Order: sequence, then structure tokens, then C-alpha cells
Amino acid sequence: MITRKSPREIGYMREAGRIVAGAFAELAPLIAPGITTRELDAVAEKYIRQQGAKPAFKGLYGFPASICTSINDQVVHGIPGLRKLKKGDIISIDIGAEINGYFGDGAVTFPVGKPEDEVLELIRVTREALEAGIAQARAGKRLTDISHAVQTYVERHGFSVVRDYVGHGIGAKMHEDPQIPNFGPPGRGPRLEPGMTLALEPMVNMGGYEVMTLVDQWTVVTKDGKPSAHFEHTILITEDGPEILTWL
Amino acid sequence: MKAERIRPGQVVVSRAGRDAGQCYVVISLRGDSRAAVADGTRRRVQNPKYKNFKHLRLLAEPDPELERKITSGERITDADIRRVLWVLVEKEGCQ
Repeated sequence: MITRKSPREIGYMREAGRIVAGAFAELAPLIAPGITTRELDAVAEKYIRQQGAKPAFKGLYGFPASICTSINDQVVHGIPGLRKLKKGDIISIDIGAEINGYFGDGAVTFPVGKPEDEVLELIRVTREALEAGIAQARAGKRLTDISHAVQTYVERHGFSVVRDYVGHGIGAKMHEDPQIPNFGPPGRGPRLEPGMTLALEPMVNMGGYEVMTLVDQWTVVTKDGKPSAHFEHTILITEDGPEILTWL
Repeated sequence: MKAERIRPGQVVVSRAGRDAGQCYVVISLRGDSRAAVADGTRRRVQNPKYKNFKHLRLLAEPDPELERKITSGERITDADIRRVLWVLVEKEGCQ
């Protein structure tokens, strides 16, 4: 069931979204060659806790850390560890925060140093695909209008969208109904209504869309080993259009 | 998040039809739009009901034991299905 949030609930979600955005602002200046993903995890966790919130991924389905750090060909769910960032890497960071029982969820892909132009293009297209999806998240539209907008934008630039992972409703739980695929025909699925809160998260691969999970049971990588980027925002659908909650 | 798809061994609830609200276990998939479902009492493994994916809601992760049996081609019994569903009756209000 897709829930519509009350003004009080939306207030809590704004707060959670602001903390997620704040955590990215803390991490952004630290991303440079030499830092380990575990250090990034520690900084994010400390910030989230200082704000009176909880890192939402810690323990979610058994995930061992506070944030997901996925480097280069890793698509999502990379576990922070001792791996150091290198010049030319890209790192996708996914952060969730919970406050007063409500959640915010966001992701950003950062370049480390200066990757190749094509990789920077992948990051740009992924971010713009998310924006194209958000533009469709208006009351009266249907759910897969978002999916279709993301897919067409990505494929027009010669990249592919991951099929096995999807966006989701969010609110009193991290993952609520509906599932929001990043591909498919427009005009299907439930009609969007004011008060719905969604986490849109296109994952875009430079090569094919196939992915697989590594033996750690978490890290998802592209099958062809080519890089992948990931952007995510938690949004609220209002009468006047979408409002991004994971924003400072 | 990981896309959830209907898989054998998964518990589902009917959300349309005269059996709406009834819980079932998926025992096999037929084509890419319908699932054979059974509840071990009214609908048995020998005579499953075929339901459109659209008319089912996913309830629980596949039971690992049952999923293993189905994918390895071992015979599953109505008792297996009742064992899986019984646990959910109180928790999820299955009928």
C-alpha cells in the first residue's frame, strides 16, 4: 500500500532528508586519493548521530556499516573497508538517516581526482536522469512516467539502466511500496498523489545493464566490469510539483 | 533497493478475485505473468490455482528450505506448505 504522509510526518522526513544532505556536505571535501572508505563511513556516522538521528543502513537486512561505498564497477551496496580511493576512481555513496521514526535516503557519485571524460559523462548523465525522473513526479502522473523518463534519458546518451535494483517508497520504513523501476513503458502503475514520498535512484552503467552480487553477499558489480554511477533523492509529491527532501 | 520479483517458495496474498486476502505459497511460475499457488488445504499441490502476478501481493521472503526443494526438483508436499503458512497466520493475518 502506498501511504500519503501527514504534514507532521512530512516535517520529520524533511528533517531526515536534511541530515542526509548534511552528511554528503561533510563527506564531499574529504573525497580525495588516499582516504579509505571506512574513514568516510566513520565521518558520516558521527555526523548523523550528532544531529540526533540514526544511520539507517546500519543493520538494515544485516548491512554491517552506516553508508554504502561503491567504487568504479561496483553499482551499489559496497561495504566500507580499507580500500583507499585512487586518482581517477569514482565512488557512489548511499546514505540513509532515521529521525523520529522517519527516513531519508540519498546517493551521490563523486569523481576522485579527474577521471576520464567518458566517466565524467556517465556521472553527469546519471544525475540528469534523476532530474528527468523527478520532473515527472507530479500529482496526476503515473508511476512509470518516472521510469520511462529515466530510461529514455539514459539510453539517449548511450548508457544503460540497471534492472535488478529499483527506487522505492519511503517514510516510516526505509523501503515502502511502491517499487519504482528505472525502465519501462510510461503511463502504467498507480497514479501519483500529493503526500506520497518516494526515493528515486537510477543506477546507470557505462556498458551492459547486467549486474551480479559478489561473495560478500552485498557488493553489486557490473558483469562487464565497466563503471556504474548512482544518484538518489527522497522526494515529496505536492500539489505544486515535486519537492526534494534530501537537500540542504 | 533490490527489485522484488515473484519466486517459487514465496508467500503471497491474493488481492483480487473471490479468494482475496487468502495466503498462498508460489510453487511454480507459468510463463512470465502467472504463478501456480497452493495453500496446502483448499488448494493443494496436485491442484494449484493459477493467479496473475498482478493479483498477488508479495508477503514474505521465500522459505529457504522450500525454495531449495522446488529449485532442485524435489517433491513438495501440502504439509511443507502448511508449515510455511502456519507461522504467518498470526503475524500477517493470513486467512
